[in-house]
Amino acid sequence: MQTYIQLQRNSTMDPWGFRLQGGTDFNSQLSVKKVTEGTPCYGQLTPGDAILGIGQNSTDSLTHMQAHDLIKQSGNVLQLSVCK
Amino acid sequence: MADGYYEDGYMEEEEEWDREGLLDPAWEKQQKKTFTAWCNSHLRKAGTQIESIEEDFRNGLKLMLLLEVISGEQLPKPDRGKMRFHKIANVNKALDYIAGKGVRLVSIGAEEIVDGNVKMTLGMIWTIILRFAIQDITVEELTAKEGLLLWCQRKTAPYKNTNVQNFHLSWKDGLAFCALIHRHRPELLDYYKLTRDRPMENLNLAFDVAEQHLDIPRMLDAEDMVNSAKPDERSVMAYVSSYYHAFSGAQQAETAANRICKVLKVNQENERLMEEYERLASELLEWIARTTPWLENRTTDNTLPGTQRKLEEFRDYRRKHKPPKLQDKARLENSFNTLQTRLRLSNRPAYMPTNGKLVSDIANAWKGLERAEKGFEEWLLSELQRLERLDHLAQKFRHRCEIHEEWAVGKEDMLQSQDYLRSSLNELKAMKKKHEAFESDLAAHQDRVEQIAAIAQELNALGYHDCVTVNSRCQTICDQWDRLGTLTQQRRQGLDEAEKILEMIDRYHLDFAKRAAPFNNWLDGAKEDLLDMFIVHTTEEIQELMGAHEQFKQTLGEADKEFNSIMTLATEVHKLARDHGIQVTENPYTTVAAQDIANKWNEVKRLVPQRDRTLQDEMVKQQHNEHLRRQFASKANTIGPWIENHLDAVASIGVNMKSSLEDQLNKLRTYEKTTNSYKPNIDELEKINESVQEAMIFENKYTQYTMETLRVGWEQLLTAVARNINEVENQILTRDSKGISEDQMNEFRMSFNHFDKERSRRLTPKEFKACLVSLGYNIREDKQGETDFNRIMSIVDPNHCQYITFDAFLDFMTRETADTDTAEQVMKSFKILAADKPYITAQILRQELPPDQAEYCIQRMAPYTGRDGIPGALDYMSFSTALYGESDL
Repeated sequence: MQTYIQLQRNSTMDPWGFRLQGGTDFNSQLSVKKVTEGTPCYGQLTPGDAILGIGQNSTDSLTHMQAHDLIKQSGNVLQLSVCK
Repeated sequence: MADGYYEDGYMEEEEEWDREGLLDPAWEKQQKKTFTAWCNSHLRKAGTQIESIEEDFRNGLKLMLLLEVISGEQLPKPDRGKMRFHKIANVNKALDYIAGKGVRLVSIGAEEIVDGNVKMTLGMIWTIILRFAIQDITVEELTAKEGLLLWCQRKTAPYKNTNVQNFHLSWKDGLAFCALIHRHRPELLDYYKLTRDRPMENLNLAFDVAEQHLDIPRMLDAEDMVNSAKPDERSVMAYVSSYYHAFSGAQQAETAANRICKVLKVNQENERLMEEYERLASELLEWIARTTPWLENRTTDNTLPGTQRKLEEFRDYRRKHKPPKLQDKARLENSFNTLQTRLRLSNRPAYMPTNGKLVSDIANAWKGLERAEKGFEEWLLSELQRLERLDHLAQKFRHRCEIHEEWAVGKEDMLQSQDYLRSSLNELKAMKKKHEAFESDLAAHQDRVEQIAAIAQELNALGYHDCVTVNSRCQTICDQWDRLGTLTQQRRQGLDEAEKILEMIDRYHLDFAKRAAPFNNWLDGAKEDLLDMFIVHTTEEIQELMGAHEQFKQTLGEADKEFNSIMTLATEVHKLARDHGIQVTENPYTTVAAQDIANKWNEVKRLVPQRDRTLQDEMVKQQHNEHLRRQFASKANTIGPWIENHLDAVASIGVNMKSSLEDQLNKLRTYEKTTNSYKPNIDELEKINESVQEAMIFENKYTQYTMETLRVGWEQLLTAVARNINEVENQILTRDSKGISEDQMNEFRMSFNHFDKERSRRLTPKEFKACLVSLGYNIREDKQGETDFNRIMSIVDPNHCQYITFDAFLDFMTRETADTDTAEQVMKSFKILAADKPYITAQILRQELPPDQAEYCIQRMAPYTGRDGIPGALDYMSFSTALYGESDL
């Protein structure tokens, strides 16, 4: 089930709190590997969630590093389209 | 009346001036400046001027001069002496002159002027200004002052921000001066840019413009105007009066100019009318002169369109061209009369048109035109009628010619064509019938040709304009008619002769057809038999074929005789055709050509010995093949069972769970060795098979094995051994690294094998799902369940092969059961090296790790960005996750 979630944080020094895995260079779907308790994404993301979109970008053709950079560049608000 | 005027206006002023003069010496100063300038504006015409008003008038000489300039009248001769009494006498002469103009000079005496009394002098000059500059401004019976005021009010009325009510405060902002200038000479200043709140600029602008363009000297001072509470009324009046004079003068000039213009306009208008008359008259006369001959000309080009065009032109002339000209004629007469009246009224001499353009000349010319026009239309219509009749006849001629020509098209070609030399007998008979029909058609056309000739003759008699074309066309038709008669005769003879020959040829054709068909059939069969491809597998079969061929050879003598008589028939036909120039059509009774028969007969004769050789060769080959078959079969029958036995043995190892993984591996290694040492047997068989294939042997009744099945079996055996070894090794590795017991392992294997219904060592997604459910997974039969399952599939089948190997299955099962997050473990290890710090240094890495690994880490680790870092700190955390293709965000 595809849903849209919006994460917020106070500072770009704070981590979002999830670990990203996959990408076209790994021949697998970008997804959430794990989630750290008490971080901005806790309760919104769960391990195994497939990440289908970052902001306005579809992740269909993104390598791991491209997705990584996109998330890094998102500032203090991060919009994700995920499949739970 | 005049006295009363001054009583009311001037005396009042006098008292006011005295009182105010005593009160404010500033007014005296202002008046001195203004009056001096005013005097100089007049004195300069006499080539002189004054410097000081109270000094320079003392001897009376310049005073007299001033009065002479202003009035334009001669005063009595002044006394030339320089004594006081001389001066007094001169001043008195001036005062007397002023008094002579009806002005009463109250309390002004010559002595005071000669003594240089300022007030007296100024009073005297004011009297002069009033009398000579302002008095004659009499607008609607008002006093001079009011007259000047009314003039100012009227002239400034259109300017909203000026309001002239007096001769002091109303002028302070300068706008009224500017308005006066702009009203008369708008090009001198841009009034609408001015504003009330900039009086200095406004005043100076007006004064400058007046000085430069209107020749009015500066009489007022902008600063005085602005700074004094109330500007001096007399000074302002004196100055404004100069404007009045300047503009009224201009107005007069303008009026004069207008008058001149008016006169000139009358003349110009008259001249224009004369030119107009001349032009109109010329045009009209020219048109009449041009049109009359055209109306007098009673000839046509003898054609209907040309005459119709002429009628159109005449109608145009009556409807379009003549009416406006008639109007022109009337207008010309009217304008001539108008012009003469105008000239008489404005006292100008009468007008005489140039030669030949008198009104009577025009009337005469017009009469000539009407004469010429008379009877033109009747003549044109009767001419038109005649031409129409003629045209109708010509059309009839053309129509008949067309019908005849159309009929005659191709007839000559048709008659001349020797098509009957190329036709079949049936076609020829049809042609003869057709020709008979044509002959009667030709006879019927005789009448028509005669009619055409008759019409042509009539057209000549009536003088039709294009007789040349008619005659030549008629001649062409008659000539052709004669030729058609001759050609018809010739064709009939040709047809009869050809018919005889074709009937003979037909008989030969029929005979040929009857005999050629069966012989051709026999030839085809023979050829087919001789070339018959045979596939034989045994020596017996080839023996049979050789016997049949010998029998066939016995029949060849009889065939040769039949061949010769058939060919003779064909030759006869060609000879007849050649002799009579007839093109032979194909034999209608058969599709078989003589040449085909000859070719086929020759080929059969050639094929007989060739068949002998082919049969002999095949005999030898069959004997050789038999030998090869036996050789391959004996070898294959040994190797086949050997491979089957080993495949079964290898496959059974994984399924049998009694033995440990290590035992399985040992057994498999043994099989690997045995198999490798058996390879030479396969190679030997391959060599025999090569010979078999080269000999094109496809069947072998001595064995069930083919090389292909043995090869597949052999490769399956090799793959099975290798794969099983690999699988067992992987299982040992998984078991050891994840710490799974042999029992657990066996349990997974049992589940896997259970659901691997096809024994393919792989599970389809459907089988995999069932397997997971059997192992306790809760995968629901709804959308959520589908999503869950797809997520699992992406882990076990990342490449979307749509099957799951035991390795992947084992990996998935153990991943789910054990908590082995390897990135986490690496990170934990680095943390230990780093003494619990979130970063690590190159030094520690070099200290703790082998040089290769240390350098690898140092090169790839990003600098640590946390606040608690030290110089050279490296981020081992992002490095650790990156190793697993993961990143912490």
